[in-house]
Amino acid sequence: MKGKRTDYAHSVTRVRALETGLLDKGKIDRMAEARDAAEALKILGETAYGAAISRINSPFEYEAILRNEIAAVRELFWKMSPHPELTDLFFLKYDVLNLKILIKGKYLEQEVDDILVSSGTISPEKMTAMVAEGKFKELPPEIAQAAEEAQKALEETADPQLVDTILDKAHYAYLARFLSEQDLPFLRDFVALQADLTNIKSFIRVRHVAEDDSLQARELLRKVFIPGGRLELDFLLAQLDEPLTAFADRFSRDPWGYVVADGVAAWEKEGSLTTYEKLADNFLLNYMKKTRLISFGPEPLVAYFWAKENEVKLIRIVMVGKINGLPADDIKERLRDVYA
Amino acid sequence: MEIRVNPTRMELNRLKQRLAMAVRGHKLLKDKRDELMRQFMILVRRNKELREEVEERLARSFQKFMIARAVMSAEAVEEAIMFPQVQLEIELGTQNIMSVHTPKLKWKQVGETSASIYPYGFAETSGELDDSISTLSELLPRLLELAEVEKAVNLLADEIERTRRRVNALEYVMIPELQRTVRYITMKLDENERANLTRLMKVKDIVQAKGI
Repeated sequence: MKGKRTDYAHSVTRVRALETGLLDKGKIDRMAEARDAAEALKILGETAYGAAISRINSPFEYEAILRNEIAAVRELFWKMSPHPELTDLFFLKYDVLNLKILIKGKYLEQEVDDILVSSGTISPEKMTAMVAEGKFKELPPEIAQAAEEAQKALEETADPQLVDTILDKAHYAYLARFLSEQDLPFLRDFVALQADLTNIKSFIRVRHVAEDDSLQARELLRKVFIPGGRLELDFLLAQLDEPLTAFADRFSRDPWGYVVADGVAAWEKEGSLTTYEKLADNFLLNYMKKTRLISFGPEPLVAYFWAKENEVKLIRIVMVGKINGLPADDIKERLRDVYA
Repeated sequence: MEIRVNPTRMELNRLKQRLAMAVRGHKLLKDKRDELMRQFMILVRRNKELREEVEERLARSFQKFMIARAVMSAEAVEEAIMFPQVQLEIELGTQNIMSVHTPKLKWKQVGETSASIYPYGFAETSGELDDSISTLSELLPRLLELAEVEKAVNLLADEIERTRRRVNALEYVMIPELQRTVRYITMKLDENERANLTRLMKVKDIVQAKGI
């Protein structure tokens, strides 16, 4: 690990103080029970989001607040983290998102400025220039290489899915390698869990979309599989022909076995992955809660970022639900746990 | 109101011809109207079926999309679907239903069929998006067909309206009017005939009385 754990003494303390400002379950539930989107936003206005909310004109602009919120966390980390390259790691996904948008936009010759996100480690302007020139030196080697590969693949096949899958693979491969090298087992395990849970979800989705074509299913699973987890691609490929419940049983001894078991049960019953996605998110969030026992190190910072992301997701679920007139119970059913 | 005409034999013949033509036209238009109605009913039924199906499935697709939208950021959703995997080319032709030209849509996929219709990777997207996209993809041909049928129904309805007005005009205005005029001329001619006859008889009487 770069630097000493005690380097983080100051930033961890700050983050611990900030954590108390996270929304609690009561607030989110009250928002879900609000009469309409405007009222939900008003409830949100009573919290730390108040200043941001006073700046928007209609509840439909909530997305701007959420975007700024994540950008603000990044800004904060940038300022206070003793080793930004470590805490930046988890913002990399926004760079990857921008890369995907820009590569597709370049191929389609489309203006994409308005959908780029500014929460990444590289500013949207700089990233735009990088993609335009095809030079990715400032990105981690795995991702730089993947960006070139994705561009080439798109030129050759015109298959936009390849852009996503190539970059997703590189993203997770980089996270896993970097965290192993830095000897941060807690975060390394976290990424592995994330990869595993994602791969299982992809596995269920692949089975569904390529139901009657096992060759196509195999090919698709190979394409969307992301590295960095404990589950091997070969293991999943072999499971493609097994019944789903048998597949779920294989994980009964893993701590996240119940996520798969309950998720698969709900999937078989309702044909929807909502339950699985929710359980998986909750599991990862609860994993992050263990950082409360870590007094020094980058982990609490990452946990705060994760909690903030989760909070943003909760607000989005409520707001989308409210704007579309979903009943409060339906919204609550989809809400994840809170970190606080 | 009858047509103002000279009550002559020539005019009578002309009118009789017009009447025969009107009656024939009326019958033909009535047949056309009935057939249009029949076609219309078939299309309307098909339209209803399609619309119900499309609306029900679209609603489901939108609901799934909304859920996906709720758990993904706006940019992530945008990125996932900014580049469509499958493109359709639509060719517009016409088809003829009872000489009403209705649109006929032909569509074909542009480029090769790739293995999947999903233009995004699975790692950063919600599973709800899959169903939403696949429903929309299955639904597109239905939507096109619905567009076609609905336009045809519109055009047919217009045509039926027009035909019905013509049938009614013939049935309730033209034909009775012609019939009345024919009767008027016939009566006028008969009257003239009778006047003539009386006059002749009177002349005969006078001539006999004078004993010429």
